[in-house]
Amino acid sequence: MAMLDLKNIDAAYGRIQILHDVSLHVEEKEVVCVIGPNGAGKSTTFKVIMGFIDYLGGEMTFNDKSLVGFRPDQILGMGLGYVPQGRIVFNQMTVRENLEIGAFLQRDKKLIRDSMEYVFSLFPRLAERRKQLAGTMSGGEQQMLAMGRALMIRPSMMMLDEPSLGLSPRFVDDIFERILELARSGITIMLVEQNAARALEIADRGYVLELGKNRFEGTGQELLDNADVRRMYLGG
Amino acid sequence: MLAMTDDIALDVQDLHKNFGGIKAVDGCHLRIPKGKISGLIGPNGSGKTTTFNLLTGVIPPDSGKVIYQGEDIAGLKPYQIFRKGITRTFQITRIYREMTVFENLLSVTYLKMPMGEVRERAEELMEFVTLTKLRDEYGGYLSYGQQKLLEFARALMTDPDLILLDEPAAGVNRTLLASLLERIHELQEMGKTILIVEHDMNLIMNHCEKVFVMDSGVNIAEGVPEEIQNNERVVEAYFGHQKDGNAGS
Amino acid sequence: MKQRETVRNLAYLGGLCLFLMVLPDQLNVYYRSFIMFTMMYVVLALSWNIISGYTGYINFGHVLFYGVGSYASAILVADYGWNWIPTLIVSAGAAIVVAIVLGFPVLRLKGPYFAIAMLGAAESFRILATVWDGLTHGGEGISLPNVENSMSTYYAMMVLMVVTILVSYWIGHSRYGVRLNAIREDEVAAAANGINTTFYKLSAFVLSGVFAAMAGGIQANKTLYIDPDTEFFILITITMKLMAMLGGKGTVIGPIIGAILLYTIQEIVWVQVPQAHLIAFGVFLILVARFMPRGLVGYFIDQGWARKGMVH
Repeated sequence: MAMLDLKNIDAAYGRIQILHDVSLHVEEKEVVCVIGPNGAGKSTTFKVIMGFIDYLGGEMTFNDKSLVGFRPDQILGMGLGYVPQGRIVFNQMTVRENLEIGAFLQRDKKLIRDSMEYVFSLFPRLAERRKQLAGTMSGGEQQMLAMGRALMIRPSMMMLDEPSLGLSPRFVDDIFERILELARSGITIMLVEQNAARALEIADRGYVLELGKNRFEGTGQELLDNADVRRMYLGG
Repeated sequence: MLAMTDDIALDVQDLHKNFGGIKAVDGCHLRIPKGKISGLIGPNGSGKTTTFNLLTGVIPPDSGKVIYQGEDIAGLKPYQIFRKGITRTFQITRIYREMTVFENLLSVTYLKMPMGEVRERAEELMEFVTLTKLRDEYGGYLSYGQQKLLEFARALMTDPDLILLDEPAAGVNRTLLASLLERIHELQEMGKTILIVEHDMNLIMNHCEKVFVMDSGVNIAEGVPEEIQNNERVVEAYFGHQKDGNAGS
Repeated sequence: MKQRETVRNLAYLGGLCLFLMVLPDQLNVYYRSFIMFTMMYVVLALSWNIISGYTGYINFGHVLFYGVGSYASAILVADYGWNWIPTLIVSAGAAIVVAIVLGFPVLRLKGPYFAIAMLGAAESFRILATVWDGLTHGGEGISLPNVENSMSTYYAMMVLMVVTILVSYWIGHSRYGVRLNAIREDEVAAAANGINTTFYKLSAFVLSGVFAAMAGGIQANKTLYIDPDTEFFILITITMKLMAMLGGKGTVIGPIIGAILLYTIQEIVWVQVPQAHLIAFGVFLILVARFMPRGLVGYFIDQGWARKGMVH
């Protein structure tokens, strides 16, 4: 039984259709990545799941419950966490305050504290800097903070949009380590990445999108070894 | 290896640009051939956009030279670069919205022609991009595609020899893109040099005679499209670096 | 076609001049004064329009040029016994200097920052005029010698208005004006298309200042008394702005219509209720900005009664 299941999804930005008949699924506790060249519709996949953009047709379910027509905050409430592209943190607020904002759906103060400890245990670096202003942290730390914030609602599945984007090589290693940690702790991961090679290395399975359509799918290793996948990035 | 018989339109030598510790462009060398359509590509963060901004005068380089017609134009302001004969378009169109199509074209300076000829030229260009019927319409009322065409026409008012196109395919449907590309080829046939910065691989590989690839602030390859598509280093730049060993660049 | 339009417009202007020249003999002092001030506001609104309407740098301190002009003239007449007409040249000169010195730093600022900086600059001039009493007679103001200037200032203002209209018309229909508009529309694109934005902004700033200053100079010799609070009064800037916006900023006829309309309304209606004057202005400003941002001329264009664009 798939945890997240997309069947024949069409999606658009206003009048421009981006996704054409896209299907994919994520099983519980899997790490699945979605890769593809620029303009493939990778980030758009997340956006249609979260309800940010216009859904035109198909089915999408999470734990067998349909996602269609729900608001983003409602979808978060179902246990689906989302870390958007770009390390969006509140620069003028501390690490702690950023995390508190992540827990906005939660009323119980004790549960919020527990979640924060949980995040700190996963990201010790953040624990050290809990009073530091987010704007003064390095790119890698901000990415961790963004991920930590999404974890505050204790999602059973996390969607990460280009976590390594713009990070220097040593932070890239770090971030992928953290993602693996999350996976090991039992959270299902779906990952959209520009750095296809790294994403496929840690993924159980992957989907390759091109121009808004499914192109390839397979295990991480299969896709890594597939020459056609590599060549696709350079068009022609 | 660049053939010695190729005439060079723009010679970019060892450009550097730092942004507070981040080396956005770390020694870029480009020799753009005259009279051809060239492409500049690279994954996100490769420095190609910064390079483009350096060439168009939007930001000054920290060091390096850009030789055009025997002169070093590095560090000149945009209006000065324009006056040297190099024009550019923008990724997201920047046409003048509350001015008519005709006025948009008229606003271009440094034409060194009497008003009568300027009008003629504007009329010609409106024909070229099939916007003649919209001559007296506000730029802001044009569709996005028409705005792209207008911006393209505006960049041609001075009959420049070198035209730099910033992601011309961005937000453009296939039909319009085909139309734009036709015009671009026509311009090249007239002897103009065109440099395109793009993400759209199909465009680059099918329409550029020469492709330059950047990654992490330096250029890692140059050649004809077939060479580039089979270049391991380029594939890796786009596909990503695996954990073991293949770091670097 | 373009020739005919220009000739026709010039004919209108000529007719207006003739009318205005003949008028003062037929009227009493109050009406003569009213017309003179209407003409002055036409000049002021048009001058504000040159910098703010065309280039889009909304000037919240334009009155400082007006004050500089009136002070330059008044000082020379009252303290140095000059004949008032040549002092207008000094008024213009002072405006040029101020515009260049102030313009360099201030025109680098964007939108709201420019507006606030100019507001601050105007206030600084007001305070300067109050404090530097050696030159300006400070708070007690300058009383000019009592000479019968009513007719000569009327004619001078008429000439200034005609010149301002002609220059505005030229700007509005020339490539110089198209480039000023380009700066307003998208300064980055304008620069990328060869426009030396510093030169164009500065020259527009200087032109706008010169006309406002000469208007101030003439006004000083009509009212025969000036002080810092009246000459650098922020309401004058707001009035100019409102007139230009009401008529349609960025056009030629707009500020003219706006000035005539608003000044007339102001004199007739609002002076009846002095306390409400400022509030009424504020409300009016908000309404115009919200519902008719492109002014009456903009409205006419939308209705199809006028053509789009300035140059054809």
